Amino acid sequence: MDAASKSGRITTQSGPGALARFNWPGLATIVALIALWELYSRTLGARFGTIASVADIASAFNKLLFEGPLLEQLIHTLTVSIIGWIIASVIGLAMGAAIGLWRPVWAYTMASIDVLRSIPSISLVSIALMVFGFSSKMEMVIVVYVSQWPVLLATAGGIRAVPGSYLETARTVRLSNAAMTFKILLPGALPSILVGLRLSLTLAIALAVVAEMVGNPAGLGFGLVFSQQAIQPAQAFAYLVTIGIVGWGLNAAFVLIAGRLFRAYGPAL
Amino acid sequence: MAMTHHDDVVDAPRQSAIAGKADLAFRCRSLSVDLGLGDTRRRIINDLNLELPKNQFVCILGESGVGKTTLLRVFGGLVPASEGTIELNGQPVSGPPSGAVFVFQNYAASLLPWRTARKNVELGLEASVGKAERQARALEALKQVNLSNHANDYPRQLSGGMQQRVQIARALALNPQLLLMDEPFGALDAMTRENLQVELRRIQQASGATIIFITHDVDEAVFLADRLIVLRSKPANIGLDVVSPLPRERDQVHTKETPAYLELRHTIYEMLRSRSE
Repeated sequence: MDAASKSGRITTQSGPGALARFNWPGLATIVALIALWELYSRTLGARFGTIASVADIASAFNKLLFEGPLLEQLIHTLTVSIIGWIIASVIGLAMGAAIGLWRPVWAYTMASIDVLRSIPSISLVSIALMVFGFSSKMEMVIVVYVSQWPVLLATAGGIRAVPGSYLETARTVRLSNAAMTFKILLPGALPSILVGLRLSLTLAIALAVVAEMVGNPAGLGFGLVFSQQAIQPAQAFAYLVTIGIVGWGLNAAFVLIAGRLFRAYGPAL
Repeated sequence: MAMTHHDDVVDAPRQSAIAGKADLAFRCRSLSVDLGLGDTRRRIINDLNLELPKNQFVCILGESGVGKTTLLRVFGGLVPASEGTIELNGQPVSGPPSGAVFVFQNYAASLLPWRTARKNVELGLEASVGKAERQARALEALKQVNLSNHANDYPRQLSGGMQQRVQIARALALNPQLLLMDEPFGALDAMTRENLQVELRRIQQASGATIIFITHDVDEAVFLADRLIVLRSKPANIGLDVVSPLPRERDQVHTKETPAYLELRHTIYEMLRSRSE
């Protein structure tokens, strides 16, 4: 294990250059899939009449971006996802910490939390629509409500799962309760919390798009449904690709930032 | 006890009585410990009395499962005593006392992986000591365990022996009067272990701390100890308590060839064997 972690360190700190580290085989697969899609859309797929070719999708994307509402919609979805995720993370962290740190809080709340978070998130959209109407407020409420749970559970569970050996270390060097919380429990739970934050981010984007599809007439989700109802396959696929890139991009940014911020935790993070 | 002591082997309780109360570091009286709940509750340690002076290296031996680790955890305030009293420098122990630090067997699980070696060593100083002094003390402690060059390494970048030395440095940085070590070298290879044994004796003599060192390795105990205590089971109590006739300066080759070493080793083995029969 020592040898493995040491070699991990070497690749992150003094590894080969960016060009050699780039995932060329991964890129090759993506290029191959695009080529296959192009082939399919021009042969077997053509008989549907609704399978757009890569070239058509690209030109629809171009048109939506420079002449259409794509940029505005992209900004809307990104804003709601990120702000909603941040609010959800703050709530989830605070509640999760309270639940993880105080046994009675855990005992009183955990059963309710298990029930609440088990409600499939999509079904809450109807309720939110009823209460808040077709609005960005509805979208934000859905995003925050759904994406708070992974952070909450990861924080509470992460704190509870901090090894007893760290706690005994803290006791033998006589840390205060506050020091125990901020120097042992929260840092010890951090890897788990980061997993929760990442799950929440994915959920935030998904729920923003869903809320836009069924409720709020704005954003990429609305653009997608609008194109579908207008039977504009190239446009619909262009929206789909955009949503995919948003999800991938936010996730990649998260991993990059977390890796930088918490370098102390090593390559395992 | 049906056993013959070598002439040099002095009964330790008698010797600490001679040393007098002024030098007393640690004392426990009528100590009993019960563990478990309800029907599974049973007595682990029964009516144990022990007095340790300052600046003594004490090794506690005993068969596996006899209660060595429990005893040490009670000494360190990590487990409460069921009956009796424990005092460190006249202060009753309830909870980890100031002046006593525990060194755990599992070094990998007791160092914080997100802190460098130096920051791990500083952990116990952060509440009481300013930043500059804290760093200086941490570096000094790391120097004592020959890890000056690894102050900024994370535990995962260090070998097992180095990690255990970081843990020892963390304890030393607090200037403890009592170091409680639970088989600290148990998971290390033979060569590393022998080097650390020599280092630990040097550190103990330099710091003047009393060390209570748990081990099940007779050779380790005989080499390290100023005083050896063998626990008998069950429940645990002191079966043998002797002062080592070995000189203060020891090395792995010559000390282990002296008649006094072999004699003491023989005595301890006989004791352990008679217990297991």
